[in-house]
Amino acid sequence: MVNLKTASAFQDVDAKQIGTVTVCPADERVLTLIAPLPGQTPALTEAMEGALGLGFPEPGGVTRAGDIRCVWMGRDQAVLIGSAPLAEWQWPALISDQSDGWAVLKVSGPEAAEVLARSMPINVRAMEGAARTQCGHIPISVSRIGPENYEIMCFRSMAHSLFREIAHSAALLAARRELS
Amino acid sequence: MRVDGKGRIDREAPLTFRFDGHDHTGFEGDTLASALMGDGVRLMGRSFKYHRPRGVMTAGSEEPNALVTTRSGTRSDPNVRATVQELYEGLEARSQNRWPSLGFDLLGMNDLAAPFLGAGFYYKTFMWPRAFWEKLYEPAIRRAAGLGALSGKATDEIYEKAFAFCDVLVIGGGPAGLMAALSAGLAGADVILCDEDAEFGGRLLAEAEQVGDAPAFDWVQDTVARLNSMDNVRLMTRTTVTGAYDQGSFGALERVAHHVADAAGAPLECFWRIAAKRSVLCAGALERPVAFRDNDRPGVMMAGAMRSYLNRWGVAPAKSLAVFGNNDDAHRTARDLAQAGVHVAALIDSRADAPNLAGDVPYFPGHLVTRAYGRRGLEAIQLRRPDGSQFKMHVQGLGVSGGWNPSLHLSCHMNVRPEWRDDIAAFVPRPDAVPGMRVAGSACGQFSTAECLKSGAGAGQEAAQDLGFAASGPQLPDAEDAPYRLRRLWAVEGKGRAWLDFQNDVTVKDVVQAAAENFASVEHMKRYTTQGMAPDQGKSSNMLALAVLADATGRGIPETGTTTFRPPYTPVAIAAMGAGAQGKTYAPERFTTSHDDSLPNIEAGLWYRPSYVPKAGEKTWRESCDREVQMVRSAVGICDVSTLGKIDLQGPDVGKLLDFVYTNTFGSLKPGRARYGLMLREDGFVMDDGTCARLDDNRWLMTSTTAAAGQVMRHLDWVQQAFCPDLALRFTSVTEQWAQFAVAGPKSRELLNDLLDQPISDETFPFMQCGVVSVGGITARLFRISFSGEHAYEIAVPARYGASLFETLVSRAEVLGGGAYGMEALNVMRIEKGHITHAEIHGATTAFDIGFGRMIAAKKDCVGKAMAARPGLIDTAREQLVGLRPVDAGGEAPSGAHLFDAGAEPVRENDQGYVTSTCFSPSLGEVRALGFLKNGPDRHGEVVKLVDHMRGIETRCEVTDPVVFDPEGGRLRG
Repeated sequence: MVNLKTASAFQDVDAKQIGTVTVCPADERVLTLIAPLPGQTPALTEAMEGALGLGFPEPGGVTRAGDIRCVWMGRDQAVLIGSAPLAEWQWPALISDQSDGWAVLKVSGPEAAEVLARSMPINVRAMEGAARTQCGHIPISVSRIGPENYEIMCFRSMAHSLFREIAHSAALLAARRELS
Repeated sequence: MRVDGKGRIDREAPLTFRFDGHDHTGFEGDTLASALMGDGVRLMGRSFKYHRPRGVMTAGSEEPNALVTTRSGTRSDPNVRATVQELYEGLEARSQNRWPSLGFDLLGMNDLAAPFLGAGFYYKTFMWPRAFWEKLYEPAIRRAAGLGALSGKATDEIYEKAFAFCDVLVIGGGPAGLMAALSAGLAGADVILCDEDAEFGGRLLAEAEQVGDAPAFDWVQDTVARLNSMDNVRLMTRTTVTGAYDQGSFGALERVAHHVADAAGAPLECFWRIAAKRSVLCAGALERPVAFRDNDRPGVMMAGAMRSYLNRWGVAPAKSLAVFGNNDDAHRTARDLAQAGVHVAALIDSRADAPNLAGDVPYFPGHLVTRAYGRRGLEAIQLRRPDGSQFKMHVQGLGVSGGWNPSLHLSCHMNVRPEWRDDIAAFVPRPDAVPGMRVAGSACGQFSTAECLKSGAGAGQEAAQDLGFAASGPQLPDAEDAPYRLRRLWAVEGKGRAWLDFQNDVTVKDVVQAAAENFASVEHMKRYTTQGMAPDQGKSSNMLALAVLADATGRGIPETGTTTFRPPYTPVAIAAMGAGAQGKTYAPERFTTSHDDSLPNIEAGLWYRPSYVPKAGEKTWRESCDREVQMVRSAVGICDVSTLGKIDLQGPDVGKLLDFVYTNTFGSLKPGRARYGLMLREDGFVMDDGTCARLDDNRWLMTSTTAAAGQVMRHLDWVQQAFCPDLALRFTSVTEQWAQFAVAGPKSRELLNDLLDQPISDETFPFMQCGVVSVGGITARLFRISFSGEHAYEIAVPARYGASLFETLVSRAEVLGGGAYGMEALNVMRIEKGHITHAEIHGATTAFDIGFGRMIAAKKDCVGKAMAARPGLIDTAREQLVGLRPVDAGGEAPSGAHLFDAGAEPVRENDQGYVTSTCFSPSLGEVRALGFLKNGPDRHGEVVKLVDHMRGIETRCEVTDPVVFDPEGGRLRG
């Protein structure tokens, strides 16, 4: 029997410390896109709360229960991050596995917001929850997961471009800090 | 020359630099202008048109004269204002627009020809012969008149862009701006304070005065320290807010590394886009000159600038100075100079009744300066007494003040004109000229330090209150509160040329002449004389020019009005605006899981796909391509097709949506089956094509072309939201979730059966079957579909396994005499099969044109159906899809060529169609092409004339059916 090996979206790129900021590919996790059928958001939230203890997020929002998060991804769409036996539950929603479709990059450090402000036309400094925007020209979802911690999701095919964009911004900021 | 005991430069830290090849010394804290002045250099540039010798005129970003080129090679930076360039060790600067040297400039003879070079001279002079304009006059004029030049080569310097958001943006960090930031900050608002200088303080950096009970500069330092300690206040120096735009957005240019010799990886400049809920404009004021004969001689400068050079940098332009003004502020310059021990030969005030506020200096009230003498540097001035008699006085420096103009430029960026205030003889911003913007301090005509502090504090407080912050406002320190008294004086009458616009060489005469020639509107005068059109945008000259124009036309100043102030406030390099788009950061790259950088990849949208996969020894793409086609036709080929759009649709009503977006019927498709579908735009033209598979009762997988993946997704979203919001379904893109590979060729099933955990057969997997299979225990999806015309499959696995599966497929194919193939081979095979791509469905073709008219199902409605039935879209005379085969030996049929009747002249009127795709078909051993031909389906067998006018190719072609290889389709079903 053939033995297929797995590869990361970021290939051989490792975590990188640039100035005060760390840019790090996130561990692979189960990502599931959930989109309630028209008119079914309340029923879906009820079902999700019963099964997982978290509801379907409001626009720009994130819901949490333990290790599982549900991140708003657009109109009537959210991504559930973390493993759950979704197939067993007959939710009134589209359930689509995206674990391989999206790459996740963590950006953290005291100047993380300043680095991201080089690439994203939104107020990352003040943001809470999640937003859909672009990084460079890359369509992304960004969520704030701590005062100095952000997670950025992009299409797998652009993972290396995302890393390059953020590493570039971080390098410019670090070099700027070295100036007298 | 340096003045002992003055200035805040660090005299313990000397810096050496070069100007025009000569070594000079300055000090830490100097600008290039102050350092040159300190070293006794007065001549710093040549003027734009007449090449007149010029010296520094101001001490800020408005400088019109002292423009230099810094650095060298690809990094050379032209038109740098010496007044803004901070000095650093090793700085290299060169003067501009002179030949052979600054001191001896041959083009200085332009000045002698001045009578012929007045306003509008080139409109009148260079008219004949007509052809000479482009070939001779314009190049010659451009060479003679100009500024510095770029190197013409790409620079390796980095520019950066960034975004910022705040509650209150304070523009300008002088006394008003500092107070505005402080009061908004204390109220709790999120504040950004920008100043274009390297340090905050504005005018207070240049004045000898007290704020509170301490020197003004101490107050500045204390206040900046206070602001620095506040988390909700961000301070940005060396940052010029360049434009005010809609909805509280501002552009700002930060000069990050112009003050160091080596940026060492840091950006040279950063272009900020700042979104602010409120803004406070505290940009201060700019002093304006008085026009008199030869007032542009090096050594003549603004009185306020002369004071700045003395108080901030401890330099003076010469040993013996005079000051000439029409207002009280000019007296301060004479006072400060005299107190510093500089010889003040005269304080000249045009007002006969003004008291002397300068102390013990020779005072000449009611006098006017009528002329300056000295070519490369001021030697003397001529004064006119109140009785009209004149006398000459020897001085080497003259400070001039015609009053102060509020820096209101940003307040006019949204097309509101300023209003005239007669008491200060200046324009001031109108309230709410920019929504959410307040103006404070000198920028709104409040010139004393006390007024600046008070209005700044008030504006900051109000801005914060607007946003719901409770603000009590900081305590106001005592400060200078002298009234600002002036009597307007624009130009001193007399013979000769009196300069208004120093940067574009516009004189009083030019403006008067423009008025005489009826260019009497201020906008016409500007364009006729070029006044205000230089990089300084007339910061020092606009007011004077329009006052002279008002006089010349007999109107008042408010009626004459100002020209339009537009962004940017100061020049911005295109590189800064385009920051973030250098090299690879220009656009993201999309790589498939099988991406191999060593292959000749081509771009397909943002994707990179291998054009061909060369074997050792293959020298041309055609060799590889021909081999790959034959490999697929005879054995098996592998191609990454992951870039095609994949859309996961779920819900009981998916069939209904598909029936509506596809021309053909899908609702009846059985689970486990796939079908080819065609989509129309609403206007009835073809949008895209692809297969759609029903995975189970409630789940479908649509594929689109690579090129139209985004468009199809957007289309589905629109159709669902606009036409069928109640259908029970949702969809999402899964393009990136699955890596998908075509396995094509007669040995494709043999290869797969060696790989799949359960073998397949024609019975379990007939043509257009789809289903779940297992590869090495991994769940995969298998589709029996074919773009090549061969017995073929596409197999999809979660993307993490993509690279591994591709490698496995290719290595196993190679064992069977096959291998990987690229886009060229894929294209050849689809042309042989007459399959369309977006070369054919290019946006102007209908289903009828491509021979798919009958795919528009009669029994149901679909998007575009009604419009596609318009008579003009189903006319047999339309250009329709055909195959083309050159009949002449060695004939080519390039894409883009046009088709004509065999005997017709190949001109537009006779056009019969065009070629869309072409290839050499290794399977048939000849060139084959696809194209569109009027009434094409009825003309199979006819010979037409193909002409490529661009490449100069003419061939006779036989018209054929589009499908020329295996027309019965036996190979793909077999």
